[in-house]
Amino acid sequence: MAQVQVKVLRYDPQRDAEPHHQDFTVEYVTATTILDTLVAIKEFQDGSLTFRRSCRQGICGSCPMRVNDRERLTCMTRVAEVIGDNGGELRIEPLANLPVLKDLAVDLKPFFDKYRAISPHIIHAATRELPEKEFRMSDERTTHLQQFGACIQCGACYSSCPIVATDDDYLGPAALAKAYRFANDPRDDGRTERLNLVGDEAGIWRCHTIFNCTEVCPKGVEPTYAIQQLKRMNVRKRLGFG
Amino acid sequence: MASIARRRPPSVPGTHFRPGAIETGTVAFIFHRITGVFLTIYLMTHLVVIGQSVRSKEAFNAALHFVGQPVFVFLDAGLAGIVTYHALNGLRIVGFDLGWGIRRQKLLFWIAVVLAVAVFLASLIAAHELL
Repeated sequence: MAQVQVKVLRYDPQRDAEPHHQDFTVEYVTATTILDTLVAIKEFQDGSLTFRRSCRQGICGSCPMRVNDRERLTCMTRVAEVIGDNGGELRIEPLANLPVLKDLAVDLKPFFDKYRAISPHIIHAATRELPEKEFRMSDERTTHLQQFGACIQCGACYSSCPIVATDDDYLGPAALAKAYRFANDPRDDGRTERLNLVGDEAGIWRCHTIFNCTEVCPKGVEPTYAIQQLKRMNVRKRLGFG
Repeated sequence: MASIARRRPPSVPGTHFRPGAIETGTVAFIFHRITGVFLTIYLMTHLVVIGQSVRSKEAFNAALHFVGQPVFVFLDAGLAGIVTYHALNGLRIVGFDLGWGIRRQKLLFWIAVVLAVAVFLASLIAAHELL
């Protein structure tokens, strides 16, 4: 079996002054994922290695990490895909822009606080007439919204964004993409409220279209697209047409 | 309020531009920022040079003579390229804000780069006698 040199960033805030890399050698085959190597390390080499994982099938969002400087969902990324044919090293580090709890586990509270801040749910006006049976929505609209509803809140986009890194208040791609998903939902009455919320200097206007979020999203959400649409909606509202 | 002093660093400090994984969009942003700074500095120096015309004919002629030297002609060609990149990438971004071209962002970036280089080279060729 082939072997790969794995460099894992270790950090125990209660014991270590600084994060530091630790080297391991792990065997792998074509199908081995990055998460598999971490599990193997924890099982057979160093039981103190800490990381989050759950579904191992790309839906729970627990296991994103920076692998060779790029955010990846480790259960869905193969070792071979990252290190290439000539076998480079595999460097695994936790997500950026979030406080590290231990080793590869980060505190996602700031991420979820921002997510909650945009009211990620349908808002119904008291005056809205509820339909007798169901809310009807066109096929196109449903398909369009599905893309932005596919977010698994893994935090990869948040970690990849240099604006998030340099501005504590920026809402971040995931929260803004979700705001778009609801602002564009015909069942939602909170459009104006949401557009006002995201339309300030800590919201959509902080986005410089760097596109890192779109590149790393494991579910193809394209947050950059959503944010630009929010900009467009915001300007149209302020100019009085739409 | 944004506070740069209290930034949340990545675990490995200084890696928020992810040195091992820089993508097209990041490059476009960095180039835009750098060309923007260059253009700001250029604009100020340009105003000083042109402003000599308010002083006297001699001062203005001296200023023009100074910036007519070959090194400045070369820099002017570079400036043409920089303006082209900044303008085209700026249009690319304005397009995004209007919802246009987001899914073609890489292609649009390369068009801006190619045209900027072309303008730079064309300017050099056009001004070759002055060099």
